[in-house]
Order: sequence, then structure tokens, then C-alpha cells
Amino acid sequence: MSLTSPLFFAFLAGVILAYHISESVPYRRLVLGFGNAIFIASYLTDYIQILPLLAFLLLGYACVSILSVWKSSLALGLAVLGVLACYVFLKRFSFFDDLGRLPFPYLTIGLSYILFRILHIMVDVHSGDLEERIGPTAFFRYTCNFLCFVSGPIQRYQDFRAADGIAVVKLDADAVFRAFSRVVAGYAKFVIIAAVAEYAFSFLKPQLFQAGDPSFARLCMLYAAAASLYTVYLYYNFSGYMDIVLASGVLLGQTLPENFDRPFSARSFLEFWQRWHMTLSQWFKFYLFNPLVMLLMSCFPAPALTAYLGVFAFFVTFLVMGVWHGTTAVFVVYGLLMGAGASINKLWQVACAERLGKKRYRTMTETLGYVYFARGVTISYFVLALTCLWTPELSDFTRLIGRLGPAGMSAAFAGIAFAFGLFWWLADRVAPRLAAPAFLATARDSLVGRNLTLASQMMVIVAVTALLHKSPDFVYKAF
Amino acid sequence: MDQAQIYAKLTSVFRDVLDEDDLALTAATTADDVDGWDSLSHIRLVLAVSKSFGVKFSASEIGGLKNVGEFVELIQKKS
Repeated sequence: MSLTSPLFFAFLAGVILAYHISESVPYRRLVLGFGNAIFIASYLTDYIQILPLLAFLLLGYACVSILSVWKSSLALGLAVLGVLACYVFLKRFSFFDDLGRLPFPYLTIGLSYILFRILHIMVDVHSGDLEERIGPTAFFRYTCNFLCFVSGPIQRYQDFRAADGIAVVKLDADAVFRAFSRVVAGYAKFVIIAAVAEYAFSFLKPQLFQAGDPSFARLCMLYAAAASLYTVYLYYNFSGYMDIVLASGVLLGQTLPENFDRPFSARSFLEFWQRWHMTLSQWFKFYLFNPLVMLLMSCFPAPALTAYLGVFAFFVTFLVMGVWHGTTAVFVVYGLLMGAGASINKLWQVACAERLGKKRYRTMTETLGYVYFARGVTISYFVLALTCLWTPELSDFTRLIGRLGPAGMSAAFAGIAFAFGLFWWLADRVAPRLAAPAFLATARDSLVGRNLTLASQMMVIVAVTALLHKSPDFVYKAF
Repeated sequence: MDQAQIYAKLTSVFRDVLDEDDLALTAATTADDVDGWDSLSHIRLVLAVSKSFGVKFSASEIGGLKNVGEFVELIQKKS
């Protein structure tokens, strides 16, 4: 069920009310389990569509159970390979078309995130970090938690277990109001900002592919505007979704991890990924980057090589993370762009530190000119790389890039970097002067003021939805 | 091994790996407080600590360390 549908709201209200009827832990776990099952069932039109997902879960559970008694590295390697092979087959990656596919349509939503959770449990059970035996119902509640099912956040099992149907959920009027405020703010991001950005993007995108001979400047501006609007759409769609999910979690006693931390204020590509889709970045850091760096350092122990091993590890990690986003060839390009961004960023840091020394390099990164330049370049690179996500067919992608040419791409890059750098420079100057007068701040924070703010947001949501004649879908569910 | 001994030995490992002779560690010290303690030198530190203390760390332990205090507690638990 779509997050913006009345059905989802009714379902969520039903689960929350049912959850709080009793403080019995088994009862609450039963409510959560049924909630997950109903949520997943809402995507099905035939029972057969669920069978591949069930098989994937059973395989994952069997691997976890085996690893809990047979903690050998060989068993872990075989289990990881088996689960990955099953995932690749079910996800229908276009490069593995020759492997064949199941002869019926089936559910693939949520599969990527279930994969991350299963791999995390397997590695942690193998290393002894998770020593308790995970029962099949707990495994289902964790891997298929309806709040995180479609697109995360990727919570660690250890954190999930601590809040799994717990008896005491500390909720007072203020906490409930804050949770509902965040839900409404999430819908506002989703339905107002993201939807308007998508509306404008959908208007501009076809013009980039239209026949004719537009001027160079017009084509560059069109591309820069479309790519920037898509980024705004993606961010507000995804972070609005996360606001709804995380705030709903509070009402069910779950403290889910944050996924965004002001990503567009990042001063480097590597910092950007510490602020954007944070639980995904952290997962890759824990289970790919760190083990890979350890392996490389064990093979090449010379300290002088550390930075270069890091450049390689960053490239591999971001390549895999990029490729994970889709099933077509253009996502390999996206992965290569992510890998290139991360490794060029690291090389730049290494070169500057070597040339200027650590202290002078740090001083340089604190200067105003560098801060706005770095923010502009970081965001511009990400905005242009996201082109892969809105041109998932390689033929469209190459046609667009070919039409722009190196000069067009460079001009768009410079234009977006300048615009975002200027935006931040202005925002940092104007924002501190925008403090509301004391009497307005008091009125805003009063009981009536807070409720009026909430009601106003809901009225704007209604107005914009009526204006756009459509309810936006969640963009990240495709990944 | 008590905590004071672990801190002394750990400080020596940190100084050696990060090449900072006057580095002082407290329980609250984080990567943000130490020049050069980034994601790469973190792994080099983990490898050096593993060798020096004769302990092994798991993926979630390596990724989940938030400060020196947690590092010391983990070493104490394992050694």
C-alpha cells in the first residue's frame, strides 16, 4: 500500500491502537507480526507472488540457523554466496538475463533491504556478536518490519531486539504530538515539495529529448534545472518518507535510526555520504569497506600505502553501492561515478595534506571561499551523477550525454556548483537575520500555535494534492 | 590487565600509528578530537591494537566504536 494512501493511514492507526491495547510482550509481538504480514499482503494480487520472497526468507533463516551452530568462515562464505545468488536471480538484473527467470510475476519490493538485514545477521552470528538463537517469528518481525520494509532505514538486529514489542513505551502528550508533527511534516515534504519538484521535472525532462536543435545555452540550462529538480524531488520524497516512518516508529516503541543529516551542507563527497542515506552507508562501511581495508592492509602493511589502499577501497565500496541501486547497465555507470567521486575525493585529501601539511590543509578547508566552493562542487557532482536514476535505459542516457557533449556537461556542472555555492552563501547570511520576533515565537510555541501550524500544513497538503491531481509515489521503492 | 595499563599501552599504539608523539587519550576522546584519526587510520589502529593486545574484533565492533572509552572496555572484555 502506498504511504500516501488513506488505506495506509487506516492500517497504521489500526496497528498503533491494537499495539497499545495490552502491555503483554507476546501480544505486542503478535500485533507487529500480523501488521507486517498485512502490509506485505497489500502488495499482492495472487498468493503465488509471495512465494519467492518466502523462499528467500527461508534460505536466509536456514543460513542464520546453520551459522549459529557451525561458525566457520567456509560456512559464512557459502551462506553469503548462496543468499547473494538468490537475490541476484530474484531481483532480475538485466546482465544476468541468461540465468533465466521465474515464469510468473512476483513481489520484489523490499528485497534489497531484507538482503542487508540477513547478511548483517549472518556476519554477526558468525563473529559471535549475536549469540542468542533468533526464533523464526523474531526473524520475520526484524527482516520484514513494515515500517522499514520498502526502503529502510536499515536497523541493526541488536537495536531492533531492544525495542521488539517491549512492554513499557514511554509516551506522553508531548511525545505523541511531536511524533504526529513529524508525520505531518513528512507528508508535507512528500506531497508538497517533492511533488511540486517532480511536476516541474516531468515538464522539463521531455524537452531534453525532443527533436530539434536547441541552442547550447538553453540545453545546458534545461539539463541543469531538470537534474537539480530531480535531486530536490528525490531528497524530499525520501526524507519525507523517513519522517513518516521514524515518527510512526515512536508510537510503536521503536527508535529507528535516522537516515539523513542535512546532506546538502556537506563539504565533500565522502562527507555527503555520511549524511545521505546514512544507514545504507553505515552498512557498507561495516560489512564491505572495513573488512576490505583490513584485508588490503594485511596484504600491504606499509603505512605509506594506507591512503592509496583507501582510495581503492572507497572506489570498490561506492561502485558496489551504486550498482546496487538498479538492475540495468546504466547503474554500472552510476556505480562507476560514485566510485570515482569517492576515490577522487580521497586522492584530493591525500594530495592536499602532502603538499600543504595537515594543519595548513585543515586551515584551508575552513576558509569561507573553500567551504562554498566545496559545497557547490560536491552537490553538483551528485546532482549530475543522479542522471543515471532518471534515465535508467542506457540508450536514453548516452543520447542525452551525447547531445550535451563534454562542453555541455562541464557548463552544467559549473552552473549547478555556482548556483548551490551561492545559495549556501546567501542562506548563511540571511538565515541568522530571520529570527521571529519574541511575541511571534511565543505564539508559535503555544498549544494553539503548535496545533495551528499542524493544521495549516495539512490544509496546504490538501490544497497542493488537489492542484496536482495526483498522489506521488515513493521513488526509492524501486531500488 | 587493568584500565590504567590498557590506557598506557593504547596511547603508545595510537602515538605510533598516528605519528603524534604528544597524543593524550581519555575515555571521551573521539575521532573528531584526534588529527588524522579517519576511517582508514581507524582500521590501522584496530590492526595494531589486535596485534599488541592479542585480541580480535568483529565487523560490528570495529564499526560501532564511538570513543576511546568503548575501545578500552572492549579490550578489557576480550583480554
